[in-house]
Amino acid sequence: MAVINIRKKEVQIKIVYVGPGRGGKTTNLEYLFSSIRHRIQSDMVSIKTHGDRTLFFDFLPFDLGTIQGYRIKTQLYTVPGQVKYNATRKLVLKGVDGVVFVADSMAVMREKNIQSLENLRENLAFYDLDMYKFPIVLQYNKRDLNSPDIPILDVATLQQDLNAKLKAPYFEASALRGDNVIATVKKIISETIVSIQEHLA
Amino acid sequence: MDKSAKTKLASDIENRLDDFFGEQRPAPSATASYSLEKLKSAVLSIDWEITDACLTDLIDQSEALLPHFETDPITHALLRMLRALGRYIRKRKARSHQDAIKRVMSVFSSLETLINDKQLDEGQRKRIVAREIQAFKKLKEQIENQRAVKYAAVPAAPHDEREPTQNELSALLEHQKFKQAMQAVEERLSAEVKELKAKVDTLQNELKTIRRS
Repeated sequence: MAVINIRKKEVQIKIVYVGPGRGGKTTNLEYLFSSIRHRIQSDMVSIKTHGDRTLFFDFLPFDLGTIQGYRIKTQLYTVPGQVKYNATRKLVLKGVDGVVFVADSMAVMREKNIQSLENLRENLAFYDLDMYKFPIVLQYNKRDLNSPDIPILDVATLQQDLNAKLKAPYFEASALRGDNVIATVKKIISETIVSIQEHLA
Repeated sequence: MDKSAKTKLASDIENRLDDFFGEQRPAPSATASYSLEKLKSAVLSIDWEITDACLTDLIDQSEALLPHFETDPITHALLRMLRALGRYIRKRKARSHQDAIKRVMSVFSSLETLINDKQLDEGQRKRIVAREIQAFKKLKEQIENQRAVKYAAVPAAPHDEREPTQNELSALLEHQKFKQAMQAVEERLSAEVKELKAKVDTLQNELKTIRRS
């Protein structure tokens, strides 16, 4: 749950990017960081393995400014996507306020997307959070890969696989090119703040 | 929370987010920006799978970007470094130094920072490129030493055509000395084998004579 300091009029929100390994979670954060680094004081922290895979998490904190008199401090995290790092994923999800699920559009990743979403549901349930009533935005990444060599899933299939029950906002994106990366983060921040406000009301 | 309050909150959030994410930095020229994206794709493809096609793409994209940065020696140096690394890995394939790919990633990351981050001052830019050059030189030295030890063929190191450096010359001399030593050992061994064969023949003849008698 968000950290709210009434005296300082400050709200700290935690948004976590989840999804299958190599799906583009870190690339999302890197693109965001390169877009906003000239106006934020903080740095992006990444803990990677030798093969440049996310071992623990990436962390990008920034001060969004003031909304309705409250200063909004945002923390973006990614989790390692590889199946074996579930304990880390669970740990990073502790206290999460909003989730961006980065699905890999490559056809070969179809099963991994579904498994990863199911894993997210389980991990949220561990903290008594219902994924279906939780601020979540889906991002169908790697839309730029569409070529005969690399078949990608069409959006209808992705929607059917991942969003049929969730009915969450979704974006077609290319984290590498930056397409819809900012739109995704704007949407999740917005959804998260509204959700926090609703809980408080 | 009533509906109007919710709408107002949503609109306030939207305005704040637009303000925060709206202002973009001045971008590099459209063509350079496009080529940089293509270079990034090439680099990420290598991260995924190292093939000749990926490496050729990396070399081609580095070359395509070079003319855009002719007046910027720092960025130009990094691009040349990327091209050289690409050529080296393509030539040596699986025999490439284990850190060569890591170098590609690092050089590209620095290149991206140099191009995209307009807040960097000249000193910071120079420090970034100096760090990369140092790491590149270190890699070259390691490759040269490795080759001398492994008694490998004349180097196809990650550099352009030029005079060999002192290190390369000494590695080459070491290599020649080693070659001569190996030749001497081979000659000696073959002489010993010949001698042994002659002894075996003599013994076999003696055995035949004994059997007959």
